[in-house]
Amino acid sequence: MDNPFELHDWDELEDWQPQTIARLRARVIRELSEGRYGKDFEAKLAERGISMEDILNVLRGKRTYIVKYRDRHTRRWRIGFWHPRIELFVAWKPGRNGGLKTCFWRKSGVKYIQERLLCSKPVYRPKKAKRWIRV
Amino acid sequence: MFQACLSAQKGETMDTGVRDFHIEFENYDFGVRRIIPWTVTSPDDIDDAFSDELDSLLYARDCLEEELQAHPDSEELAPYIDKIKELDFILHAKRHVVLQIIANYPQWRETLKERPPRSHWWWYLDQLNGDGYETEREVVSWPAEQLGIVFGEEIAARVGLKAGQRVTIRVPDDKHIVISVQRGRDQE
Repeated sequence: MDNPFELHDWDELEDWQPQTIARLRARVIRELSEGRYGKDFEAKLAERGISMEDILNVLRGKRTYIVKYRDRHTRRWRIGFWHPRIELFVAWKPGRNGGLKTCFWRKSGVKYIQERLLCSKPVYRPKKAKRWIRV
Repeated sequence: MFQACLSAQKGETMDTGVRDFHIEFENYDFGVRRIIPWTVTSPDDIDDAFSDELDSLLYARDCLEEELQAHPDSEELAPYIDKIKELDFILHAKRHVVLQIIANYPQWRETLKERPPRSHWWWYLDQLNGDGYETEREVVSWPAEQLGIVFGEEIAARVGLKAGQRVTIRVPDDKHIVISVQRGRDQE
């Protein structure tokens, strides 16, 4: 598949190769650097005490969990990133009108992404991470 | 038990637990005081972020409830109780905003792996009546006839206000007033 990140429907896309993950990270980082996010995004960062460096560290981190999940309102696929040391969750929307959606601090990130996010499926998990529990 | 958001992490000290509680408290506080009003003023961002924010807000409230139930006599958590009640009051008052934006909110409950108990009323905003999450501190006990905001007929028509509609008005210091629009006496 040439460019899976333009798609909204990833039902068929189950096999996330390392190259795909690397392209995903690069794309989200590029969109962040291009300022592709909602107009309240920067205000949210400031009020939540989150720096751009925090977000970049989550997006780049080898220990970062990456998950695909469905937006509970629109039911479209989204990508979530959560880093266990930084304890920050970052949500990204794919597609032409996509970009960084939001981010917030979350301690119990694995539990959050596994049990709370709708239809969540792991895209990438760190090698020494906790086992992904099927719930 | 419905969720064990924070206390399920073994080997953590109470200090760590309080810090985690504080993080979720701030998530709840930010969601109620900031995200919902922002969504009203930035409707074009709704699809992009609001459902994640609302999901996070509801999760945070679940976590707080879980911890409060697990540690009812905790001195560390006690200072949060009144603050959470105040936020609950605001969320309760703004529930119509959430329901207006998230049309499929009632279905959100069905998409959870475990149905939330009725005591987690924040999952049942569509089923709450007008009474009840008022605390003495929040209720202003002035006679209703001394409180009033008058809209001219032209303004009311321009912004589409209708009798019986409930409206949230944002005022300085991030406070919000919820009013019910009534037909004026001279129009009856």
